[in-house]
This record gives sequence, structure tokens and C-alpha cells, in this order.
Amino acid sequence: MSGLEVGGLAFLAMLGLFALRVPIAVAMIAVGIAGYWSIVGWTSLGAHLKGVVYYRFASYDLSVVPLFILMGSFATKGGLSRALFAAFNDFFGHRRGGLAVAAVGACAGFGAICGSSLATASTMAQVALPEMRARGYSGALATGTLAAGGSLGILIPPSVVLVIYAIMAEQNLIKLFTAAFVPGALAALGYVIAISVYVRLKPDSGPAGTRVGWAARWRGLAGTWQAVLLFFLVIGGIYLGWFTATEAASVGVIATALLALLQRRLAWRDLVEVMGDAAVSTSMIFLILLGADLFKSLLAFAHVPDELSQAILELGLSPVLIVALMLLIYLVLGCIMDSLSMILLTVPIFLPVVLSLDFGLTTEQTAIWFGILALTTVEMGLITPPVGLNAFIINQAARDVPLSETFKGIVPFLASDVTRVVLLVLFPGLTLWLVGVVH
Amino acid sequence: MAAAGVFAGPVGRPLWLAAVASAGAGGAVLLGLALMTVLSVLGRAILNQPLPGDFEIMENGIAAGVGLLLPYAQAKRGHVIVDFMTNWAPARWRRRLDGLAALLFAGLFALLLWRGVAGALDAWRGDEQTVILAWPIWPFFVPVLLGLALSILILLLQAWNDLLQRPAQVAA
Repeated sequence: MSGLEVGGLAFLAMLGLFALRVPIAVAMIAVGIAGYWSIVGWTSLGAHLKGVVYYRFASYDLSVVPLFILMGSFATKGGLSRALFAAFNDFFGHRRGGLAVAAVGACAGFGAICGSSLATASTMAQVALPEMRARGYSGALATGTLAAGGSLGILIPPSVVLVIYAIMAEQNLIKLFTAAFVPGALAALGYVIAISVYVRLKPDSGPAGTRVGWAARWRGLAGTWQAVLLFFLVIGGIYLGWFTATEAASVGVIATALLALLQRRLAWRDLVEVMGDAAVSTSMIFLILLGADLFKSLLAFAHVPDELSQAILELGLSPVLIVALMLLIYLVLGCIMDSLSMILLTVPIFLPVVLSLDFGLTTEQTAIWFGILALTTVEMGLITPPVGLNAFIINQAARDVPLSETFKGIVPFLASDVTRVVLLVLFPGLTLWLVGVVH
Repeated sequence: MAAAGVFAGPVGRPLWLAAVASAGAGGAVLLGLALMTVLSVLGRAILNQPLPGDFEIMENGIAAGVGLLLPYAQAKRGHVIVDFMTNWAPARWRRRLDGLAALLFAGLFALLLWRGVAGALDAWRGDEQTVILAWPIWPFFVPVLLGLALSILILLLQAWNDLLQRPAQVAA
């Protein structure tokens, strides 16, 4: 069998296991081990498996992941999201669709201290959904805004998916974080534009509130001090050269925990809940990492990445078209898989191909640019049917809104996402400009 | 957090309590590592003296901490599955599939546990140590292996429960 046949067979076997309700991580572990066994035999596999769990888990770079998850988990208890939403609401609430704009702003602000989309979506749902519904916002606009806004959690640094990409692509995490800022800001801006178009077409969907005076606005802004402090401490600390990413995440965990404790917002029950949530997310991510590791070894033994990149280069397509096709594959895969699994499975195959193409960029620039493109595109999978996890989470919080309404409300935001991806593909400078300035 | 359904019986309850205790220990390890790192950063800033070996304590400690979280995530069935392809199927069929998936999972974890024990023994016999503090590596394997072992027991209970179509399977 050629490498491509082995690779194709492995992917089919994995998809088959997915269809039989085997967890994604377990399917990757099973196919990885079976393939490894059939190619290099038991002796080598047996030796490899001795350290595979331990040495995959024992990684200084990976320690950022559970720490950022814990930090986000504590932050959801600290009342930061409520303060952010209230402050943005003071500024925008008197306009049509203003509450939705405030929710996007608060999501962006929360995203700057939380590395996970699901955590951002669920926290903001608790805070913003009741108010939007009480103000008479349509179910479609309210839930669509929050599902899309939640994805800012991972687009705006810190971002768990970028941590994983940095490790896989052997790129500097801090530079990737830098590169994500402008695209993240563009995402928030695009969502605001989507909202204003939406409320112009359907004026009843987002009624305006009353205007708030400037004194109250400043007070509201002052109320966001915790979020601002955490952002400067954690992200600022990284850029000022105070900390490595792991140190920054550690400082973030301790600081968010202290803030919540000092305000007596962290009862024993909450601590148990925070730990439980973090335990589930962390285990899920680490098991997917383990599965992807085994699957990647199988692909490498079968020379799949080499043969595939050879085959793609022989097609003689233009570099931009090849990248566009890869992003299209992400969109399709995003309908059945979560973002992290997609990144882990595809980056070992796609990145060598992309790096061998000529975009007029250095290797490092290409790797950073492609990472941001991949991140942006896989995150669209969080809000597309049938498995849009963000959409599900928001929809569960809004029991009176049918899921079909939520997906309808997502359409304008999806349009904004597609536009942004096209812009990022056509103008690599949007991603790379800030990296050049800062580093 | 009360145990319900599959974790209510004389076998399930101890397993649930063990999973919660293990996750608590894992969480404490993670918080401890974060605190250690903060102290090291402070030491570096104030006394110009970071904690020696903070890097390798984090590296090995994180494996131990995450290993202890695994059983709880399994008890909660926290791992992502692709369910929209089987949503049309009757609930009994889906449970049968879930039970079989849990068996496959348990089998793979058993393989990894067996090889992991061999790996830990290698590290012990080979006297593998961390670079700076010269701490032995093998004790860090133990929490990971315990996490795998407890996960296997929980998976077997879940598989048994699903395949026999016994009621209520989710821990509250």
C-alpha cells in the first residue's frame, strides 16, 4: 500500500468509529495504535507505548493549557463578565441593537483573559441573555450574537488552540498571540457591523434602551478594573518580558482565584464546580493530544505528509488556491469535529505543504499567517450546524428559543466570518503587521 | 455533588467518590504548581533568585496533575463524541453503541496502563532523574497510572450499565 492509501484508510476508519459514537480522542488512539502495530510491529509499538502517556503529558509548553483553563474557570466566578457587559451597555445600550453590541464587546473583553470559546459563551450567556430577552430582543438575534461572540474567546489571545498550534508548528507562542490581535479585533468589529445591518433589516429584533449619563458611564468603566488588571498583568506581563507564557498563566490563575476569594464570590461549592469544569476540559484536551500524537506517528510512518504534499504540488495550483482549499476542508470537517482535533489532525499534513509554497513571506511568517487562518476557520465550526457547540450552549441557556432560530440568528455573523477569512487570506499583512512592529 | 444512577450502587458509589477525590487531588496539584511558579517569579523579581528547578517541577508535575483528573472526566462522560449521525437511532441502540465504545476505551486504557507500568519500572531501574534537582522521575508516573486504572474501572461500570440497559447513567 502507498502512504496515501494507508492515510486514507486510517481516516476512513476513524470517521467510521466517530459514526459509532466512539469519542473522538478514543477513535484517534485506537486507529493510531492499530496502524502503528500493522506497520512496524508489536515490539516497536510496545516500547513506544511505555512512555507515550507520561511523556506526552509531561510538557512545560503544554502546562499553559490547564493553567489558562483554570484561570478562565475562576474568571467566570469573579463577576468580571457582568462588569464588562454593564460598562459596554452604558455606552451602546441606547442605540438599536446596542445590547447585542455590548455583548460582543464584553465577549471580546472576556476573551482577552480567557482562552476558551465555550467558557466565554456560557459565561456571557448567563449575564447578557436575560437582559436582552427582557428588553424584547428576538431570540434569533440574542442567541446568534452570543454564540458568535463566544468565539472571540479563542480568537483573542490568550487562546488554547493557538498554544497547541504553536507546539505542533514549533512556532513562538508569543508571536502567534501578537498576530491574533488584529484579526481578533476585526472579528469583533465585523460582528458589530453584522448587528447593525441586522437591526436595520429587522428593526423590532433589537429595541433601543435609555441613554445613560457620562457620570454613570465612567463609573461603569471603573467597574471593569478587575478585567483590565488581569489583562495587563497576564498579557501585558508577557509583552513586557516579565513572564513566560506558563508563568503568566500561573500568575493569572492565582490572581483570578484571589480576586474571587477577596470579593467572597468563591464559596466552597463554587470551588468544586470550578475544579470540576476545569478537570473535564483539561482531560478532554489532553486525551485528544494523546490520540493525535499516536495518529500522527502512524501518518509519519506511512509517509503520508510527504506523499500528500508531493501530490498537491504536482497539481500545479496557485498557492493561494491551495490555502483556500485547505480552509474549505476545515469548514467541512468543522461540521463534525471540534476545533482542537481538527488542528491536531491536519497541521502535520497541511503545514509542510503550505511551507513549501511561495507567498513571498519568510517561513516563520507563513507558519504564523497559516496558524491564524486555520484558527479563524476552525472556530467557524463552533457556530455552524449540525455540531455548533457554541450554538448548543447558548441554546440550552435560552430554553424558549428553538435551535433553528439560533442558527438563523447566526447567519449574519457567519457572513462576517467568511468576509474576514477572505480578507486575511488576501492580505497577510493584516496578521503579520503587528508581529513586525512588536518583535 | 451527589452520585446518581450508575454511581449510586455499592460498586458505583466508591468509584464516584474516588474519582472526585482524585480530581480534587489533581486540581490541588495544578494550583500548587501555579503557586510555586508565582513564588518563583516573585523570587526572581525581588531577590533575583528564582526557585531552582521550577521548570522541571512544572513539567513533571503537570503530567501527575492531569493524570489524576482523567477518572472524573470519564465519570462525567466529558469526551466529545460525534452524535448527530446516530440521533435518529432508538435510544436502546445508542446506549448499546456507547457501551461498546466504553469497552473499546477501557481496552485501550488497559494497554496504555500495562505499558505505562513497564515504563515506570524502566524509569525506576534506570534511575532516571530530573536534570537540576535530580529528583527521580518514576514517582511522577504513579498518579498518571492511578488515573488510568480508576478510569478503566469507571469505563467498565459504564459499559456494563449501558449494555444491560440499566436506568439513569449520569452523575449529577
